[in-house]
Amino acid sequence: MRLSELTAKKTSNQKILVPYITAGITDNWGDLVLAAADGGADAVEIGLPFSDPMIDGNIIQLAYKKSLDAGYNTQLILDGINSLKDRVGIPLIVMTYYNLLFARGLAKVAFDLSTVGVAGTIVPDLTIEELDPWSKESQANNLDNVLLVAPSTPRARTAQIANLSTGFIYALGVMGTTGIRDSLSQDAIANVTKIKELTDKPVLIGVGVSTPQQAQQAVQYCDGVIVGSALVKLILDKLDKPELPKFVQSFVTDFKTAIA
Amino acid sequence: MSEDLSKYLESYTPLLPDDKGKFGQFGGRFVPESLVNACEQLQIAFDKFWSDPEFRNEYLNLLHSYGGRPTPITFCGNLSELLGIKLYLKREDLTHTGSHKINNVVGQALLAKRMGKTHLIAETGAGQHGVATATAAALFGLKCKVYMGQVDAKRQELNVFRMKLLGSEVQEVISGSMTLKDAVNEAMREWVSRVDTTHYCLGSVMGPHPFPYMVREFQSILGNEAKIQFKELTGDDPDYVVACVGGGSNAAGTFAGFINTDSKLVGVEAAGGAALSYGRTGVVHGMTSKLLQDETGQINEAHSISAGLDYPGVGPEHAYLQDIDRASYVAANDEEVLEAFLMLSRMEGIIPALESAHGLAWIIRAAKAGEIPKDKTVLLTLSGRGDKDVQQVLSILQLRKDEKGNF
Repeated sequence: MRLSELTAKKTSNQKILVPYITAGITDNWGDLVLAAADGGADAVEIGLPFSDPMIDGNIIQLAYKKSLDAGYNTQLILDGINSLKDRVGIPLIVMTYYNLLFARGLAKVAFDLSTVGVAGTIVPDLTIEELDPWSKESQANNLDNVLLVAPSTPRARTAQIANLSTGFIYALGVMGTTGIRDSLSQDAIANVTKIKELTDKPVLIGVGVSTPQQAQQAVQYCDGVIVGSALVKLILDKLDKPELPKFVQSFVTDFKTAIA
Repeated sequence: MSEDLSKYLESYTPLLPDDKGKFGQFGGRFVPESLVNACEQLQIAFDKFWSDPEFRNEYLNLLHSYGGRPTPITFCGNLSELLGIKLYLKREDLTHTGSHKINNVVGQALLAKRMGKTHLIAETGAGQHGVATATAAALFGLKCKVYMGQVDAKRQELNVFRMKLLGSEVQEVISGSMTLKDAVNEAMREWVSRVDTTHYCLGSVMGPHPFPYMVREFQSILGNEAKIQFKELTGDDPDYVVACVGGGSNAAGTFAGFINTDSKLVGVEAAGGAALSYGRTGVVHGMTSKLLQDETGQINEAHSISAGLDYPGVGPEHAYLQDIDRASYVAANDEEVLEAFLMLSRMEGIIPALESAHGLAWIIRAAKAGEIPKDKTVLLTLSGRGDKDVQQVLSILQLRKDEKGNF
């Protein structure tokens, strides 16, 4: 399932919600992905943990550590995604750092991701200068390739990125790492405004959207939001609670309601 | 006494990375989009100032009057006789702050100042680069924060104090393995957030372009001095040029002087951190290079007697020089390093940094095995002095004292 259905939603003026969940954060992480879908997510971003996550803050670092300490690796996570593909009903996007793709082999991992039903990838340490090898393999395997634009990205470069990005454009909401912020930054608004002048593709703000109110404010300027650290924090805080999937579902529903 | 260091760089022809910042397939710029602009600005500023005679003069004058350059070359008569070779040391241990790190931090701090930055951040493992950065920050009136893994900060308490004494803040890093690689991640994260005011003073020839190239250029004074001095001293180039390799900055600076000669270039890694000897190609800390990693791509920790070589990657230029067979890379284990440390102390009256002792350890092994033939000339970069290591060496030697208390 490719991300084209997000473009369709954008065209019909529906706002898009993409929650982020770290694979392996808990053994029933697959149930959390399903709960997010039940809560009204339009797609789910699944994080593959890396030992050296350059753009992630404390909360997601801790989630990665839990996952790696529990023995999760690319193969186990692919197996987990495979078990979701017929039940989840919305596109799944994999976010990971380039070395994990490189280590498995670009052609092989693109094929594997496609086979387990993944719609696209987000690889934050892959700049457009280095994109070609992965772009070639993801295209060959029908995977979308979601690229990032930062507040600091100049206009001409933004146009290049917007042109190469498929599925949607990931607008970084802050100059900084993933994490919870008290308010939606002016940087976020300026960034999406800059991007939307240059493209008709859906533009989503990620990083620094932490509450339904912030999401509601964000979608006045763009097509949707990605919610990562705030959700991961909820999961980490309630790991031992049997109702965890319910908490995830209602968290997602709260955001969905706010942006509707 | 004044000496113009620019004469050492007059005939230097640097090996340049391509337009993506790559040496062959290694290097490049693998960073989040939020750092791309900062890397580009840094590259533009470095290219501009490095070719500006005024900047160069100021840099070289500081390395002379503040840093103590040029450093001498010392012939080691006693060890040469024992090993049947002619052993020379390039004495970076005699610089201000006691290691080659000063060459890089003076350059980067000066550049930061020209770029209008008010803050420096840096990562450090053993603390040498942290102390050097704190020193340069004090000199240039810049605010400084050094990221250091909590494990390293505990091991190197005195260096933490030195940095604080010099007016720097030391931020202990508690993520990941709490060592150098995590300090790099944390400094990068901080840089993303404070890029307007802050320059990231990276300590080695690693990270995203332009760092590997820029740091090598700032270290190239080392090798270029050595080349000219060695020729004046012996009339020829050395048969072997040897340096230790962690991230690889002293080796890169040394090799820069000899890249266009017939000298054999040898980099010596710590056996527990030998990315070039045992690693596989991968991407971390903004670069493609040889890395110690598991089969799924998670980065491993490095372990050695010398904290300065505890790095699971290596500068991309070294991966390239290995790839094209211009330099060879070998590993030395903790035990032979300790022996080399003792030999240089006892036979030449020079206490080396444990990092530098790796280079000597390989030379001793190779000379004894005939791998370095008799009477060949060998130039070793003594990258730093060993004062910082004596406590650690003492604790190891305590375990093998005889009844009279002799080691």
